[in-house]
Amino acid sequence: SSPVKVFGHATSTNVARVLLCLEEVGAEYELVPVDFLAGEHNTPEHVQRNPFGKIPAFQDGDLVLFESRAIARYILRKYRTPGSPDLLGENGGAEEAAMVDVWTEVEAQQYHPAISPVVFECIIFPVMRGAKTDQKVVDESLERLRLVLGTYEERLSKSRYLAGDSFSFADLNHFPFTFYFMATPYAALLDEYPRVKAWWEDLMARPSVKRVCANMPTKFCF
Amino acid sequence: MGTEAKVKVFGPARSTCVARVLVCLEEVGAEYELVHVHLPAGEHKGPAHLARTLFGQVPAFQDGDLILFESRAISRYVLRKGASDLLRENSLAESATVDAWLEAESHNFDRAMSAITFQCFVVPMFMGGTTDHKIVEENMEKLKAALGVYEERLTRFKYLAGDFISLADLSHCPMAHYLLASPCASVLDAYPRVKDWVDGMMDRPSVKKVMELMDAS
Repeated sequence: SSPVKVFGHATSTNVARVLLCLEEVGAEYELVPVDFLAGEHNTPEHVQRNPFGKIPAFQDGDLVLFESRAIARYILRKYRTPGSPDLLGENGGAEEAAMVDVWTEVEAQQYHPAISPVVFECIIFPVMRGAKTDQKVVDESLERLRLVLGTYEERLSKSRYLAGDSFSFADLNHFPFTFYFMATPYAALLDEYPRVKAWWEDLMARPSVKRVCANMPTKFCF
Repeated sequence: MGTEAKVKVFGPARSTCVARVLVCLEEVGAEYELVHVHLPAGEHKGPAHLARTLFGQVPAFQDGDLILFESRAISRYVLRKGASDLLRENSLAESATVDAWLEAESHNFDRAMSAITFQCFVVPMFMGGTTDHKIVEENMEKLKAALGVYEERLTRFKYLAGDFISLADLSHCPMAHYLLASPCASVLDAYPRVKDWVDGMMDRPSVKKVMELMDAS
């Protein structure tokens, strides 16, 4: 069967989320660029794949998907091999899968809203729009992030990984935005939460993460 | 869920996240106990509730020793345990499509509606403040963008994930209930298929029951 297609750029956080899962299960894929500057994300061809005109979009044969977390789940279900880890916890029973779902939602609903504005203000907006960092937004977000990280520190004092004893999709989902956060001037914030820091370093040591990192910049000129 | 002890849902029914879980419980016909958590008194930030949810949000959920939070995670668990077809987990393609539209609901519809309802209901009624109309307008534009996508989708399929109803559709119901009760309800008039889709879901027995609980809460 032909490789699956991911539409977008390796540097995009949500594309990286999908690539990470492909690397975890060792599936072959083709990365098809989408030219934002030329407005390609608004063309009928792309909107057919992603009705909200965003990236990533994904194609596996006749199936076309959007939303990186949905694409990621599909990849982990379909392409999982007996040797690869059960990242969704679905073979562990309803309770294990539920805990993975809980902490996957926590990333989306608690962690992401706190950390992403820092990444947008410090990296994405300056690089893509030449915009100046809004320090007020950064400061407010860092305050929120401190509270979230405090809760994560507590969680990781009771549980080896977020959803339980095994590394899961929930942990993996934290990679893209945290990676770029560590390239902002505020990376040292993680040092205040030693268990979180150790959990992050453990994640960064995964072979799949190293392969995806290789295509994501850490130095930005603006 | 047979003769096992009833599951518990912690939170007020008028919270859309609590209501989301209640719709799923009603859909699978599970017996449950709704334990009220008094938000204005800050009960959700008290030690008992924090012990359940860490982040002090509602709902929390308990099934025996298992404690869960985050409404969409709880919903998945409830539907799986109740052997519901609302997740379509027998099909890789269909379940992925359900997941995609559930994510879309969360990041687009719910985010915009949360900001609108917070400004239009919570701020004046519970916080003694005044509605920030700039925020409402910005989010109405985001809502309309999402409704436009839904309108196109619903010209080709009966429901969001395909010709079958799923959690992706039903997840909209609690916020849709507030939208229909608000001065902004007429926004749906420009999206006739969306309006029919919403009306159809509001007619489901499970949804009607939960809307009653929301209004009584």
